[in-house]
Amino acid sequence: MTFSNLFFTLDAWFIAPFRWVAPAHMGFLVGTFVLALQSLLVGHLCLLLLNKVQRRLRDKYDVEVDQRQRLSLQAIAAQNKTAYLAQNDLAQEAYGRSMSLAMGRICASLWSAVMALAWMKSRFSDAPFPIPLWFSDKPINLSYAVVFIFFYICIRIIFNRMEAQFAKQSELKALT
Amino acid sequence: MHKPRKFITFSVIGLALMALSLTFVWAEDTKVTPTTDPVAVEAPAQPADPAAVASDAAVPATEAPAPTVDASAPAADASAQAVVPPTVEAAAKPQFAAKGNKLERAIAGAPQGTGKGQIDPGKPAGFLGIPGGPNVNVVLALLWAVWVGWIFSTVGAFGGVMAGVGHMSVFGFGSYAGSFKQTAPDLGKTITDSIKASNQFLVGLSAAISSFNYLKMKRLVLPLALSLGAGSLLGAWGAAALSAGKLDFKSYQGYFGLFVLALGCWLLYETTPAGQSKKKTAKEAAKAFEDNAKKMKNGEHVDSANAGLHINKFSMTTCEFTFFGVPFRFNPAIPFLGGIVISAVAAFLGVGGGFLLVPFLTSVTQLPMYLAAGTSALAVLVSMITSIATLIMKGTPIDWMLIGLELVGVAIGSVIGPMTSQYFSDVTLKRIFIVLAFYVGVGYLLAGFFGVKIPGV
Repeated sequence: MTFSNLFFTLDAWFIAPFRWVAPAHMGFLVGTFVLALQSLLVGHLCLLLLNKVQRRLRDKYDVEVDQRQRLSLQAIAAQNKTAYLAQNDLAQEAYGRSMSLAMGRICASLWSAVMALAWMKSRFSDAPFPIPLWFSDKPINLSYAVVFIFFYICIRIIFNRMEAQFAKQSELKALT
Repeated sequence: MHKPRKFITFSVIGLALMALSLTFVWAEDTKVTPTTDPVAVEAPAQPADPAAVASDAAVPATEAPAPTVDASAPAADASAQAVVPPTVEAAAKPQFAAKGNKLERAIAGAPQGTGKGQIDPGKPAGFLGIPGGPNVNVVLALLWAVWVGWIFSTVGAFGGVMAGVGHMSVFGFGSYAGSFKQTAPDLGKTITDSIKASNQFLVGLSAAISSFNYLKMKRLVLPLALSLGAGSLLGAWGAAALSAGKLDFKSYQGYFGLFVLALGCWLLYETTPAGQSKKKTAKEAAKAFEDNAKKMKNGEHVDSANAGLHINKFSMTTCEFTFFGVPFRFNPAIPFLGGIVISAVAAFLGVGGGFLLVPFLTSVTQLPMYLAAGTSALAVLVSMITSIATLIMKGTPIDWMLIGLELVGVAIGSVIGPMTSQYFSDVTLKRIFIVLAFYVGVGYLLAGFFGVKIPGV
C-alpha cells in the first residue's frame, strides 16, 4: 500500500462534512471543525490505549525519577555538591527513560492531527480562507492550517477541561 | 493519572456516533457523484494512473488560488470533486506550474522525459506529489518509524539521525533529489530542504515535550534560556534563511555524514574506559550518598525558603542564581554566542542541537545536569521552530502524511523500546550504534563529497 492509496481511501470520508452546510465559507468551517474533532478523538483514544500498555513501566520509571530527585535534594540540602551532581546524572538517565515514554504518548496523541493536516493540504493548499477586514478592502487570507490548528486547540482546551471534570466527579463518587 | 472508565466510554461512544453519522453522508456521496462527474468517480479505481484524469483534475486546482469567497472552500462548492484522490490533483500540477508555489515552479523548470533527472508527467505522483517521485510503501515507512522510535527510547539522540537515514537512503528521497543536480538544481534543492525539515520535525517534537515537562518541574533557568534561546533563534534563522534553496543534496549528505561521524566518536568515547570511569565515579558517589541518607535517622531537611531556583542578579555580563541554596553564576553573553553557533550548525544539518548544548552548558556555565538539560531543551525547541518556520515560509514543501505516519511508528517504537532494552546492556547498544554511526557517517561523507558509494547508504 502506498500513500496515494491511503489518501484515496480516506478522502470521501473526510470531505463529507465540508458539504453539510451550503455556503462555501460555512461548509469549510464546519468541515474543518469536524475534522479537528475527529482527529482529537482518534488521537485521544490512541493515547488511552498507550497509557494502558505503558502504565506498569511508567510507574516504575516515575518512582525512580522521584527517588533520584529526592536524593539530589537531600544532597544539596547537605551542601554535598559532588553527591548532588552524581544523583542528578542518574536522575537524568531515569528521566530520559521516562521521557521516551512521554514521546510515545505525544506521538500517539498527535499523529491523527498531522494526518488531517496532510489531507487538508492536498485539498485546500491552493485555496486560502479570506477573512474580511473592517479597515481594508482587501481580506486577510488564512491558510487551511491556521483554521485547523485554531479549531484543534480550542477543542483540545474544552476537551481537557471536560476530562478533568469527569475525573473530579468520579473521584468524588469513589469517596462517597 | 488514573483515567475514569466513564470517560473512555464517553470517548468511544462519541467517536462511534460521529463515525455513524459520517457513514451516512459518505454513502450519500458515493451515490451522488457518478451522476455529476463520471471522470471523478472513475479516478479512484486507478489511483496509480493519474495521467488519465490529469486534465480534468487540474481544473479545480488552477482555479483555487484566487482569494475569493468561492475559492475558499473548493470541496464545498463542487460535489464533482468528492472522490478525486488528492494525489491525482497533485500529479496534475506540473502542467500549470509556472505560476504556482516554489515546488511547482521548480517542477516546471525541470526537463520532461523518462530519463534520469527528468520529470515524467505520465507517472504516478510520488514524494511531495511529484510525478515519478519515490512512492514510499506505507508498511516500510511505518516499520522504519518503529525502528526510529525504538532507538529514541533506548539510545536517545541517535533516533534523529536514523530518521534522517530513513528519509535520505531507505525511502530513496536523497538519490531522487541528487538526480536533479545537473538537470533541475532548483528542484533538487527544494527536495533537499524538504528532507531537512522532515528530519527536524521529529527532533523538534521531542524537544517540545522535554521543554514542557522541564517547565512543569521548574527546572528551567529563565534568563539562561532567554539568552540561549535568543542566540538559537538568530543562529537557526540565519542558517535556514541562508541555506534554503541553495544547498544541493550531495553537499547536504556530506555534511550530514560528518555530523554522524562526530556523533559516532562521541558515543565511542562513552564506551571507553575513560568515559565509563566518569560514569562509574558518579554512580559510586550517588550510591555512597544514598547509603548515608538511609543511615541518617532524621535525614537532611530541605530548607523550604531555599527550595527551587532563585535568580539573584541578572545583567548584561552576570547572571547569579541559587538552586536549593547552592550558588551558581555565568556570563549571559557566552550562552548567547554558543546558541548562535550550535543552532546554526543544527539548523543547517536538520538535526537537534541538544547533545551539543547540554555539555556546552555544563562545562561553560557549570550548571547541574538537571537545569542544563531543561534549559537546552527550550533552546532546541526555539531553534527547531525557527528553522522549520523559516523553511516553510520560504516555500519548502513538507510531506505531512509521511510525518503523521512516522509519529504512529515512533509511538509504537517507544513502547517496544523500554520493554526490549532490558535484554541489551547499555554498552552493547552503544557499540551497535557506533558501528552504525561510522558506517553511515563514512558512507554519506564519501557519497556527498567524493561521489563514492558504499552499499546500503
